[in-house]
Amino acid sequence: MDEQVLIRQLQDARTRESAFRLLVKEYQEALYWQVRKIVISHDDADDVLQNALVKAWKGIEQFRGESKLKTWLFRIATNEALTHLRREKSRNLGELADIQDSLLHSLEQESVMSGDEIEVKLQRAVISLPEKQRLVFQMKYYDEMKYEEMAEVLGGTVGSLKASFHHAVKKIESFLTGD
Amino acid sequence: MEKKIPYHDDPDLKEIAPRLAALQGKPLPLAAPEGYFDSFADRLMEKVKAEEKPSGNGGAASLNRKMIPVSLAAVLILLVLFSVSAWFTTQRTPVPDFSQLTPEEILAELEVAYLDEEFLINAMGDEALASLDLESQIPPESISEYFSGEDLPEGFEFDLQPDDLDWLDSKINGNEL
Repeated sequence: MDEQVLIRQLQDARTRESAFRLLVKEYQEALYWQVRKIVISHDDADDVLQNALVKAWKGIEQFRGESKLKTWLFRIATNEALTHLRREKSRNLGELADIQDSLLHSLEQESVMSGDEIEVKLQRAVISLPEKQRLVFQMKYYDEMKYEEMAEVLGGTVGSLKASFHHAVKKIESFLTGD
Repeated sequence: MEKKIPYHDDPDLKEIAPRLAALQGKPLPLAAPEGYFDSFADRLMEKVKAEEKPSGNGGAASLNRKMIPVSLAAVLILLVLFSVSAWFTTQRTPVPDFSQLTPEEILAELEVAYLDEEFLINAMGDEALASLDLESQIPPESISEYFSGEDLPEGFEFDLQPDDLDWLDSKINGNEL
């Protein structure tokens, strides 16, 4: 799919809906996992993703093509997921110590693994990371996103993102080896 | 539906985090419901259209919201008009019906009411005015003093003719010159 053609179709009211459907089908899975890894719960991820894409629909006329459509969508979805977490944190204040406890609770509820639980342990380690390190680790380790693209989604410099990934990897390795 | 951890072409990862590197190719412990992505776009577009279509109640609510400033302005204008009207009502001095009063009562009114003299004379009418015997109640000295010009504004000049003075003197002293 030619991105420039798709952008023109998205900005034309007559072709907007069909073009937006194409866009959603192209990126829905990647966006879902991006959100799901942040909020853990499927129901929350579904809500967040829908809200994010509704915002994208409403803002598509203002999209000027300064970044790729995928990057733009990832930025909206990531911000929506983080906003969801912060909202949950303020709502559950007093019930759970912090958002990490809430996410660990969701992980236990939603985990589909049995027997070898090393992947669940990895998720626990990722959840225990500071927010920025966690996002960088997930986008690099699971999605193999380039640092330049990541910088457009999260902000910051390539150097700072590389440093965050390095710190995250060291912490997770330490967590997995039980140090 | 599962997502797997990709294989990274990153030699550093094996060196600094061998346990983490060993997890490459393993699935995430999270899954999306079967068929979730098949219907996602349709559900999303339904939501988009639902948010774009204003509901009947929403339209009425929106209209009501737009009317709030207009209503407030109307109430404010009415309040101002009512207040001004009430103020004028309390400030207006009732004008007595001089045609129903005796000359003595009119004089009594003149002593207590701080009304403009010209206004009162106009209001009295010719008949009531003619019945007043003002000259007999005003001492001749007062009239003389009044016409001497002491209380008149600077530069004021009487435009009296000799006949007028004769007439005045005859009225004050009862004598013909």
